[in-house]
Amino acid sequence: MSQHPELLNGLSEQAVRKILAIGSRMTVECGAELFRLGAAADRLFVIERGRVRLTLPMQLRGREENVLVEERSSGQTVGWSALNPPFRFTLSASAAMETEVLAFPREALLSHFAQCPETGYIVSMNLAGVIAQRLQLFQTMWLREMKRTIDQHCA
Amino acid sequence: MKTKTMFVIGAVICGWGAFLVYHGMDALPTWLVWTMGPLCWYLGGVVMLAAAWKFFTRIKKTAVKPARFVAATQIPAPEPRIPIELLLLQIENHVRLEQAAAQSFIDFPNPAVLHRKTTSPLVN
Repeated sequence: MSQHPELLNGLSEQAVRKILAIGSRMTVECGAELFRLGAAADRLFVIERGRVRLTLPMQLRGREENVLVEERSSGQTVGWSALNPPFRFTLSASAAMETEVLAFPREALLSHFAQCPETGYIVSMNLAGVIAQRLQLFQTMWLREMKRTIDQHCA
Repeated sequence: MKTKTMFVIGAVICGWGAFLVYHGMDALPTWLVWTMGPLCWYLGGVVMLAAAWKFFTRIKKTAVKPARFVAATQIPAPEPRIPIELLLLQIENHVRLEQAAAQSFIDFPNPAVLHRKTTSPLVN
């Protein structure tokens, strides 16, 4: 990665190196699953290379299909359910192409943050930004959808 | 006409036929008796057969007719108009367009941008 991932913005080079040392690199083949909806979320993932599809199941013509909800690419974070109770993934993730991710075990991250509170604070703020971005995006999409529903049924 | 009424009419016509054949010889010409009598039997028989047909087919229809609430759930689904793979692609395209539209609102929040239409075929 030429730049720091979004989760590590604002950290010193030394702090970034320490955090990256916690992560283990994983290669996910195209189409392979990174995590599944409802599974225990014990790792946070930062995408190094490639693209990850976040999906939710939807019944379409009597069969269950995974419908795209969001796509994340290089430098972005997925699986932040690992840092939020009840520590269960609320989406499924699969690789849209061969993808490399850094997997950060929750326990190791929290233990590191306990030792380096300043790093923990900056990473938490970055994570809050990621979560806020998702929230803003989806509340806007929800409002657009609600307007369409009202136009369709109550006009 | 009700099945019961049809059956009674058929029986009455047959009865006329029988009356003509067995008691009309004295008062009516023989040719008339032997023409009208069997004709009445024939017509009465046809009417009674029709009544019987109507009665039994009605019972059969009633027997196979499912309850209304069951029928409502058993309405066959309309034939899919487009293949499921194409529908999934349309949904993906729709999600991307909606996210782009939502992102442009987040970047420059104003009411006009919030409800700006996309080209997604799922909403047009």
